[in-house]
Amino acid sequence: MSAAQPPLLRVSGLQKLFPIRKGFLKRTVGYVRAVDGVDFHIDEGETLGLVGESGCGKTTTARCVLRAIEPTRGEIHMRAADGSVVDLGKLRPKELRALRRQMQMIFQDPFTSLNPRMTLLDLVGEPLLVHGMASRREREERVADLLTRVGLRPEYMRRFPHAFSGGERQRIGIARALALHPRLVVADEPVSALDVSVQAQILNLLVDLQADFRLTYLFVAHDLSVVRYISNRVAVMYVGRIVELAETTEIFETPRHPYTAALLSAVPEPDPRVRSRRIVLQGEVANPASPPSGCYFHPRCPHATAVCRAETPAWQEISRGHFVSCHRAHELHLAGVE
Amino acid sequence: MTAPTAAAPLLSVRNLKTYFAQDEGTVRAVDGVSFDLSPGVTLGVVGESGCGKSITARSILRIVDRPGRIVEGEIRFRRPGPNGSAADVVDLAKLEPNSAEMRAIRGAEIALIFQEPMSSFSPVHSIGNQIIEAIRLHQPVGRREAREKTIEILRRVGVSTPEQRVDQLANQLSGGLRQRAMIAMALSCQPTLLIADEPTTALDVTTQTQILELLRQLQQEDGMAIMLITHDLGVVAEMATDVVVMYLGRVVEQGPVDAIFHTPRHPYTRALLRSIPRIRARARERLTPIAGAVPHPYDRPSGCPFHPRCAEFMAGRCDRQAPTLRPVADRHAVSCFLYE
Amino acid sequence: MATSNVVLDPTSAPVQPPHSVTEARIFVASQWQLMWWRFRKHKVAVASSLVVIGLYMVVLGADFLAYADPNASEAQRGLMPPQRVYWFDGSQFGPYVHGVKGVRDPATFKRVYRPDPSQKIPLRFFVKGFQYRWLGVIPTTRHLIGVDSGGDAGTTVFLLGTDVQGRDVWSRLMYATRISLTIGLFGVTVSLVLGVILGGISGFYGGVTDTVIQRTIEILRSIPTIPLWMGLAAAMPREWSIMQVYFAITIIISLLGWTELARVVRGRFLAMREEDFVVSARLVGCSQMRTIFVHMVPSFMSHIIAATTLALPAMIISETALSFLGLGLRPPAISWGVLLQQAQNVQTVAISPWLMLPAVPVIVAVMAFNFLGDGLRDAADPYGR
Repeated sequence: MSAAQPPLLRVSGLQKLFPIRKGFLKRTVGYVRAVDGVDFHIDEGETLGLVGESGCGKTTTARCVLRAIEPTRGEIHMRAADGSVVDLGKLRPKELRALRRQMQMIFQDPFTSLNPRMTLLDLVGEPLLVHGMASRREREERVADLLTRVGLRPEYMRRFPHAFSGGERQRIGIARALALHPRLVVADEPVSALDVSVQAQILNLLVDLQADFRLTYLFVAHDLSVVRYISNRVAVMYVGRIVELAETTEIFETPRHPYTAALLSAVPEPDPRVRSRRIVLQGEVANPASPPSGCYFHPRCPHATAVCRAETPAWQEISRGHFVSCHRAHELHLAGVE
Repeated sequence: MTAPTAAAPLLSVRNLKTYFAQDEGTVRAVDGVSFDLSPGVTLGVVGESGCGKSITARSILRIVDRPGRIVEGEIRFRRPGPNGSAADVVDLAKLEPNSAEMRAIRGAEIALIFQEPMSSFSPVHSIGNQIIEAIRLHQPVGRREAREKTIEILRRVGVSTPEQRVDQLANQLSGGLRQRAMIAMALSCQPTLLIADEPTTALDVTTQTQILELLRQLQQEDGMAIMLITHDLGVVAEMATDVVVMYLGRVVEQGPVDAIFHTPRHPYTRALLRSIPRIRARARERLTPIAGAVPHPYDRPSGCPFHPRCAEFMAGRCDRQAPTLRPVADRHAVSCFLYE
Repeated sequence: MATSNVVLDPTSAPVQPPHSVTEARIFVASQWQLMWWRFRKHKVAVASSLVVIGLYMVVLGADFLAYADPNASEAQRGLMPPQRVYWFDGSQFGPYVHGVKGVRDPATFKRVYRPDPSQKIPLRFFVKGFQYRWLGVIPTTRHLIGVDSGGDAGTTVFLLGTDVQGRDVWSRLMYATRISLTIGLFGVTVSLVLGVILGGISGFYGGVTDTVIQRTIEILRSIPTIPLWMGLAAAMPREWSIMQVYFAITIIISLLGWTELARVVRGRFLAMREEDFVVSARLVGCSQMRTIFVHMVPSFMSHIIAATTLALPAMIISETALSFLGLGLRPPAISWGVLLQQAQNVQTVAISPWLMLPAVPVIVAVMAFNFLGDGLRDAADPYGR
């Protein structure tokens, strides 16, 4: 990780609002604030874990970064291979398509993310084909190489996805994402749909590939143990906003936001001798269509005060590289995992 | 961890086998499973996809869909006798699934909660309606009384403003509330055994905490036995008293929860525990995965079902015969040739 | 399913024996092969497909299967009942029919036909009969069955009897089958093209285009069909030739038929847009054209085929109904509807019920197409988990 260079990806003020339409004329009566002002950066070669519960907006954020979904507002600055910094949000379709070579996605569900009607050769070779590699022989060689790198036998390139198990299909998806040697890979819950015993295989593979290919990961997950394993830094999201962002060890051992602390305490440890003190949150996750006033978390926060209800907390750097959005961050002492 | 109760087990499964006869072959979904469950105990049934844990639960309740059927084994369930008299042991495997006796047991004495609460509630009836129906099926009470009981039980499981919620539809409730409503429905007739099939898998981790806390509390109050089926080892460590580890329809190891997590014997259990990422681990400390994948049900390995992936595979033995479950320590049994 | 021998993980455990040939076949089976294997299991659908193939054989070989000129009328032979075929002449296989003598019943002065056992008219196969052009190109005179002499009233065969004008019902039925089934085909093709294009545009672009097309579809669908057809049919000039009427009928029927298919296509496009593998195609850099034609269209092709097969019986019934009411094809054109139109009287029911036989192929064809379409639809998604 070179600190001198600008980050590979810098996101500022990202917002995605989905209009709620009602009535015969489909008038817009409100917005679902799926992503509500998100700022972060990722340096080249590092992994940023994006974690949160359902509805927090992490998947929407990931898809906006790649412009698979069009963001409502915000800037997505990417440092291209030639060193220039481009705002992905402002690119025209043709330029975007050219830049797509440098950023790819790994999907969550290995059963729906591969076109079942295409062979492995077609699937992994398609990125090469659409970006100009016309020679079939060349493609076959490259596909064979990619399949070997992800741990599959190249002989199976004539088979269809239905011949493979979930873990193997996920490997195919990874090979497809890596075909163009991207620099940024957005992984959207890549192991959530896999069996426990296979998750470790894929996680190891992702770590190895990151070293081999010099990849930068934006790793979206809801499983904190997985995020701890793979991330250099972690961002915690709640109802469309990032509430805390810090280095992995620091955020797990010394969280500064009450939601992070509650989340960490809720993870059951696979050890019957460990009985952590659970912070049991009251109430339900806030509705992104009509979020609470001030700090979105205040109705459930055991430390909330009047100011939390009135004002939105600022995004502040409370210690080096550790950002949090909480009025009381300075005075609270929260427990992390030992 | 509670000591084993002196009372006789509430549920005693012996050599249960449930097979599915398909065109392409017979799927041995449950292939000789045995365990006991006593009142007040939580039994964690752990395994990955295809291990047969859900089918085991459905076999106990006799709701296995065709073409599955129980081909062998006993499911001895102790029913309370009327007015506290001596209990009556009935073999559920021998009952007709639709018989009056089975229907009296199902829903009242043995209750089931599912992973996906949306699919266990009718989308067109209010949740109160369905709980009332469950109550009136098993107890001779009128509508008004049933409705009051429903509101009470909703309150008990932590549903706020139950008098209003009782008339809401399932899709108007959040995931956590729906799961609470399902627990309410399961508990409405005071079962002695509650089977929970992945009750928190579809929930957020903070909601999961609430639901597990609720289950623990209810168990303490009512003294019922819980059979908790899950693939999440953390949940098992937290909730279970005893653990059964299943793989491809067989029990590979069973014992008290501390023994399973701290002195696991079976290579699968050991490998599984080594391969999961932990929240307290150092970042990037390399995981040790289990090689291969769970075999396809039609592609069943010969002998011990785990042998193709086993680090301690013994050629000539493990691929020829299947090991049987044998005790290795106090209440701790393993099915592996390493211990025979 | 492949297991550990597919993954080159250095910690791989001992591998399983290689897979059987069957499994290897399944692994490389494409969508169409999987569909075919699933379809084969559906016995009724397979049987129905054979029936449909048989019907279209008749379409191709209508002239060959007929033995009498369908338009050759002779009042002398009007309303003859079907003749009984005797299969064995003595102990030999030699089908024959009895000759028929027309006799005037002295009491009612009506012509009555009585079989004349003295006349044995052997049935021959591959005989020469009236001339026709096979497939419109090859002139020939061969027919499947017939009699040696051919032509002479007393020595011809009438397997299904004759109609009021003395025309052989069997031969007319062969030609009717041809017309009725091909109208169905053309109608469905027009519907298919219109439906896929409009439905695809509607589903893919969404927004205003979608709204406009959908509302148009709803307006069209709310028009009652029979009055619409009656109106359109009445508006057709009487001087038009049979061929012109034929195509006009086709267009009329498919004008409304495309709406159903358009809705199916639109629905699938909308669902498909959100599928992960389609998003993946766009992210990888596929152009819109490629995404549509390589990724989206093949995914619902099988559904389209099933929907089309199920639309055919509707077309057939539409044409038959229209002609039956006298609004569609008219004599001298021959279709099932036209044949049935001429059976629309009490006399038929009371005296010559064989004239209602054309209803049988209608029923058989519609049922066969329906079962076939069901089978295709069930087999259509071989990847259903």
